[in-house]
Amino acid sequence: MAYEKVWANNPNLNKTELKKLRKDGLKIFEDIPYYAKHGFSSIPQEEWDLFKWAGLYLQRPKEAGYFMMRVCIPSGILNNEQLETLAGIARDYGRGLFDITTRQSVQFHWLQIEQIPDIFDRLKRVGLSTAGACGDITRNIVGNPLAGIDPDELFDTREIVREVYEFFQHNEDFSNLPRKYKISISANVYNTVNAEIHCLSFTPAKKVIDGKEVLGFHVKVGGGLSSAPYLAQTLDVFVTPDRVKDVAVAVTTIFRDYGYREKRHRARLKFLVADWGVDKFKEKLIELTGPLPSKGEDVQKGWNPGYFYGVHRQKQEGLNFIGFNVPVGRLSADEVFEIARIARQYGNGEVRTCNSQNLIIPNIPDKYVDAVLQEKVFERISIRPNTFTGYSVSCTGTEFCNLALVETKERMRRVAEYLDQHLELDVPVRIHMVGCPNSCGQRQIGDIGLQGIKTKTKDRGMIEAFEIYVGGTLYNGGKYNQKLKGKVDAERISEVLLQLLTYFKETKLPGETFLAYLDRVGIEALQTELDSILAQVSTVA
Amino acid sequence: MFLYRFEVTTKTEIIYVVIAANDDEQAFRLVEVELEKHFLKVPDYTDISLHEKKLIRRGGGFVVYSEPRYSS
Repeated sequence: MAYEKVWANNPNLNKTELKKLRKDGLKIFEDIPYYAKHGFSSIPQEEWDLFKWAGLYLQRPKEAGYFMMRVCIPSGILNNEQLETLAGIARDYGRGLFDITTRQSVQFHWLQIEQIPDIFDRLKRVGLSTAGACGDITRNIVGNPLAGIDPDELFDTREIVREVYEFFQHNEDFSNLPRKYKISISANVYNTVNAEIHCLSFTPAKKVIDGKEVLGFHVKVGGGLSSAPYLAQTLDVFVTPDRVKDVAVAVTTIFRDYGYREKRHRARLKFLVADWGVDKFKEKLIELTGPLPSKGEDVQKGWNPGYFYGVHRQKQEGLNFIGFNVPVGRLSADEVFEIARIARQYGNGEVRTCNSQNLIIPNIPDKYVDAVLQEKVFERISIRPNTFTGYSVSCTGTEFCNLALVETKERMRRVAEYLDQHLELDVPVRIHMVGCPNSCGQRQIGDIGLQGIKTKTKDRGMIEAFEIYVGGTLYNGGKYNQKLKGKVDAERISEVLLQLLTYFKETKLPGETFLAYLDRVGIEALQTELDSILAQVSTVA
Repeated sequence: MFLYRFEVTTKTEIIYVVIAANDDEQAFRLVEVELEKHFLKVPDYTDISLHEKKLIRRGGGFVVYSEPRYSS
């Protein structure tokens, strides 16, 4: 052990902390071959939680022994061999399902313990890992999916992300954090990584130092959604690219050594930052890093939450990146193989995942763009998705989640499809659907957030329903959406949203976004309209 | 076993009910049982809604807080 666990003698540690002191989460990697040989029944129930450190969660019902596996993809960048490997795992073991997550990772379902060693071998051969994809550890590092090819980036962040990722991979000095810990690093000026909702974010900035303009980062700490959402706050420091790893290690050390370990629900970094404030946090940081310059100029211009549909010029002359829509982030293994072939045939084989659950094929020469777009797979995985299908996000829902109250993924797809069939808008409207009060589908930052509930009336049995939230954004520091009163029968949600969005269309100004509209007319106008819709439509309340 | 957080909506108020049960159906049934036990006359509710559930491992709970009832 290379460091002292300064919290070890705290008599009030929670039970998970005591368990982690007895056995580090990463040790589960050493046990998996034994369990794979002896089957699911050989895994003691008290070990189930440790599997998270290997990127594995048990699906509902846990006793059935099927795992969800998450694979880290730093910055969302995959080479061709890696993409084919992931497609092969989905095809051979995961019933053909390939899900892109809201943090650029890839998830598989229906895996069994006997298959895990072979899956790990396949991943290792191509330089991929599940370590840290789940658990109380540094998670996948979210980055600019256009890093290195982006006309809107201050500089290329690929090497920085790689260096930070490699440092934390299988690093037992940092595998026992108080809770999950999420980092983003991006130099794109449109905040493509949703910086405000991570524990630690490096955002693009510049500063004049000794008469010279230096490019680097500002640092935000203490963001996070879940059931108690906080927006990250900016520290008064400027970090040059060569110091990013030092600062990341220092912030993580502060979290490891000072983060709260008595109550799991108060353990995320956001609670420490909220208690300390940014000035004290900066003081502690500088004790570990040495002096850092004060803040410079924030160069962020706006917010693009990871949407890059269509064909776009790269920084490199004659090359393009093409952004495709993956409805609710779900692909089949066959589609992924096909996409890998296309990326290899026309580009350099690379494919990139976005936190909007979509994907990008980069490095397509001008002469091949049309040929790429003619490929059959891109009829469904479109570059011009309809307004709603292209901007909908969903959590897993009851299909795989133990805590979800309603089905979400397929329903969100159907709702978006219905809206696209019946309504055209001149602006996108981002709809996020979740199956419980947690934030896997990032409900709080949607233009429209739909939160699932179950409800029962006197004349109907138990049905699934939704509450509607409006006005979430991360633009200009961020603001979470607010709940409208009223519950909508899940069977009628498409119809109710259609009427609400038709009203929006009829009363908006040309080109006015949903957020600008809400700022102009106020939430009360939408509430009044929803009341009137609910009075006509047979809904819940 | 799960812990459930319900909201029972009447024309004038929201009543918060917390239930421990093995599944959603049983939880909904128990809400009505608890309402019958608590009130002399069961309130004329418009709906009973489940907002959140948690696995009960070593205990657990919910904060229930009052919001103004919007009258449409």
